[in-house]
Amino acid sequence: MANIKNIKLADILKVRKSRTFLRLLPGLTFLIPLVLIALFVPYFPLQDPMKVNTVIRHQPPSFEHFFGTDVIGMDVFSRVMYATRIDFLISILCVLIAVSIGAPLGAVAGYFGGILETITSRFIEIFQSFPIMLFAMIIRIVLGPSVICLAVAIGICISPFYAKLVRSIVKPLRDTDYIQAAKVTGQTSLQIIFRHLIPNALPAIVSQFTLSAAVSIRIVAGLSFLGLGVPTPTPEWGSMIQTGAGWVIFGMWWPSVFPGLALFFTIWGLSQISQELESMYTL
Amino acid sequence: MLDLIKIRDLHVKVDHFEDTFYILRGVNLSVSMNSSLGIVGESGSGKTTICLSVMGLLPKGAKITKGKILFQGKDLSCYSDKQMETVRGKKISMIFQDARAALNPVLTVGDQISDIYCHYTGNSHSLGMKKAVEVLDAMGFPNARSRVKSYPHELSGGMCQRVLIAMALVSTPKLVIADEITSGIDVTIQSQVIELVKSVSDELSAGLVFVSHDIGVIIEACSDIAVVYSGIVFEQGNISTVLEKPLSPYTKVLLKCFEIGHSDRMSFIPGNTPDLKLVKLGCPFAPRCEYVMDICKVEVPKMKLYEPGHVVACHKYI
Repeated sequence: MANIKNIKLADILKVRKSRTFLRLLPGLTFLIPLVLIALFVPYFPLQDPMKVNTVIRHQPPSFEHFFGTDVIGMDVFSRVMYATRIDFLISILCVLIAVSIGAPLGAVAGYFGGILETITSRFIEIFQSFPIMLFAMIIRIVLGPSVICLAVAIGICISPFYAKLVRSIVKPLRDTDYIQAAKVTGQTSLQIIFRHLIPNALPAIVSQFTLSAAVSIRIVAGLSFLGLGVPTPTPEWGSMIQTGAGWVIFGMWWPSVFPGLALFFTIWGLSQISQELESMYTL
Repeated sequence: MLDLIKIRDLHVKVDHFEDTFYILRGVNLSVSMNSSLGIVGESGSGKTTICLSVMGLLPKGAKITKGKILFQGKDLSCYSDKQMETVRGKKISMIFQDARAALNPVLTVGDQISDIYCHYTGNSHSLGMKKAVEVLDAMGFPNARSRVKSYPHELSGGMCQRVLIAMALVSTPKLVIADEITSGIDVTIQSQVIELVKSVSDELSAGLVFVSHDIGVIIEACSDIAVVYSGIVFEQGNISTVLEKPLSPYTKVLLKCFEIGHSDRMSFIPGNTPDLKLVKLGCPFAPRCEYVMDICKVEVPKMKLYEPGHVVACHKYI
């Protein structure tokens, strides 16, 4: 009992601080190389990921082709590397679209309250009751086949999450003194929402970035696997898994397994980091 | 003298679930240009409600049921929210009680001042920051140039209060309402803050409404005083006249409480403040008043001019 009393709050905080980096380490060890690959892949001495060479099709992993070659003789290693780029790019786009739709919506609902909030919240709940994959598919089919449309479709699907998050933060702030003070100085509701309320919600929003990035990469890969994502010749993990999938039973595992592993480590790293960030934010 | 703001027979009631509270039961006040009015009263007497109804920021459930708020001849009580936005800040501005809570924790103080300045003048942000430095410098803010970049939590309570005053006055309002601004800060800084508010509002030639439960603060800050009790203004007049010759029985006993007596015990007013839930017929002070008459129990006293610049609401003087 005496020992417990002797521990000061400062000590606890110090320990927590020193462990911050350690807690993020497992996620970062996978994520940092992946981000570096995504950024600098064109400068690597890699084979052209889109070069078809039917002479060398179905080659197992070797020193010449680290991950082997696929059904039409494209180098799997180079394709896995290049796919990092497009998958990260789409996921960042998705998150940005989701935030820019969701955050203002949630802030407006939380700030004005009343019937507006009820309508928005029920609408969001209807939205969320659909399976996210199915919903993304529908929007993607309606919007058309391009990378931007794919990002918009997934962004719309993730946005209710941000709307709810921002609403829950804004709602108790609505009656604080500084919002009243901002009203007193004659600032309009729009100014109050964008200048005062959303900046207050930013820490929570940012801590959710990684999680929704993971979710959106998963959906991109999923949609591509179903043939609704990135058009086929472009290197993308989901579509690579799909093209290789039919050949796995014939013992040719490499065209599917390597992109699958890349996908797994990306999503795992992102969710690991988001989990740690979230617990740090709440503590 | 011309009245800047004139409140006539203002009634405010609050519906809270099943109950109805009658917060203001006929407030009459007036503030003339260049003068400062101190509103004094006990907790729950409706001081803050008067301020909020002038700003049009009454909380949900509260409603003005009767009366007028005439600001420069226009009735604010029937203004829409959109119309009020043009009045707030530009014409009437308010300084809040808890300075730290009234500043946004995620924006720097310079940003918050310059936001308001830019909103009214349409100037750029960098010019607004310059103005913020200038204003804070004029308020005796030490090291203003570097301090504009600090966040509210990095400043002391007195400094936050100064920032808040700067925010309220940077838009050059015609009327400044200071709601208990001295209650949260140290006594040594209190008089500095009061002096500051006074001098800046003098410079702008703005009217000042100073709300406090501390008569000492009001004596220091104001030229006029209004005594509020249970949603009714009992007395309003020049501060020296009221202090020398209090007319209303409530003012008399209230002043007695502030006197440093010869006995060891502090004097107090016997009885309790009235229940705001009940619709009382007569004067709300009647149950505690020593001069109570029969008429006090049935009729609310009306405001009456006793002498120039001194009005009183009491049946004794009718």
